[in-house]
Amino acid sequence: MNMNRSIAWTLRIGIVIGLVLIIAGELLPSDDLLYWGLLILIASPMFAVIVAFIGLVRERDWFWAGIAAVVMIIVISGAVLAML
Amino acid sequence: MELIILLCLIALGAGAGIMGALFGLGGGVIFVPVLMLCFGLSPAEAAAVSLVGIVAGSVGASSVFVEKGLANIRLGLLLEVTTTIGAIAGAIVAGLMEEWILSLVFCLVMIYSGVRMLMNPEKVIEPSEKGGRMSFEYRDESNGEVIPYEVQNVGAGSVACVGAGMLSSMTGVGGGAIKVPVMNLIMHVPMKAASSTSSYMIGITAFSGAITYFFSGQLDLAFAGGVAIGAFVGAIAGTYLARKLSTGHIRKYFSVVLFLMSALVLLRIGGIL
Repeated sequence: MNMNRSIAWTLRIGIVIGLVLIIAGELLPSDDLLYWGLLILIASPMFAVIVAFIGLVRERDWFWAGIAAVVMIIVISGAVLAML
Repeated sequence: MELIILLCLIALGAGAGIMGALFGLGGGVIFVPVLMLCFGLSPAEAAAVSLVGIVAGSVGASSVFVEKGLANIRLGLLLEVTTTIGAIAGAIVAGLMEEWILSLVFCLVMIYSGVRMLMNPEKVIEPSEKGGRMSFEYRDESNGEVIPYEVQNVGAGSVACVGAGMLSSMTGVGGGAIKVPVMNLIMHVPMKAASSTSSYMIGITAFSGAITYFFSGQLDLAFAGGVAIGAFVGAIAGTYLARKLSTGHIRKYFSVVLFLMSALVLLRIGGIL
């Protein structure tokens, strides 16, 4: 699978799982389902950046893989700081 | 939560989703005041809910734009780096300048960009040689043409994005309103690719803010859930519109939105919003 399709599928899986849990959480209502649904949804862009980095490394496109690595470090450190 | 409130939140999210997909704008300038005035949220709660809406819209739109090759992943990641450098620099020097002066600068840049987009036709440079690092292409579904383009003035565009990042972290207005004109007017990226790329980028930018609010417990889960559902629906509708509309139309509507956003920021400076 090429890089663009891998990223698109990562985003698609994130939003579908996230939204299913969110909709269930709104209807039941359940804060636990809303919590996990929103967390998965919010985290999707971070996973997509990781997939982009892996895709660029696999294409041996080193210049752009380096750029993706910087963005990956930024988003992951942002998430870690938020959890602390 | 009452059903009517949930439906209103979904409708609001849908508006944000359409804007994000069609223009690459997060629309926080419009949606944060609405969340505060109509739903009674505090500024921090409204910002948190708005950020989740931006992520949901961006993820929904990008899942289509990235696969179609409209969103330029490489360029998006590069400008994400420069914008973040600007945002960090902005956070460090914030407080040295009056916020209203910065907001006014932001407005002037938006108005200038809007006028240039209305007056000047789009200029796209075809790649001079095959396989250059900055050569890309996408297929325009409104007329079936494959549009090759070579990104120009990468240095100037990156510096402008540092400025966009600084301004947005110092004023709280999202950077999409500057990044799309930077890509289109300075870097000569075709409008559809520029707005789709921005649509992909705003999700990454909003992620850091959204996750911070999420873990700090400042996010109202039910409100955020409603806006997220709407933003996804709006984003899917927006991607359909973006693919079918002509470049000229998207540019024209984009400039109108820039003028509207400028007006809202001016109202905020004046203390009315």
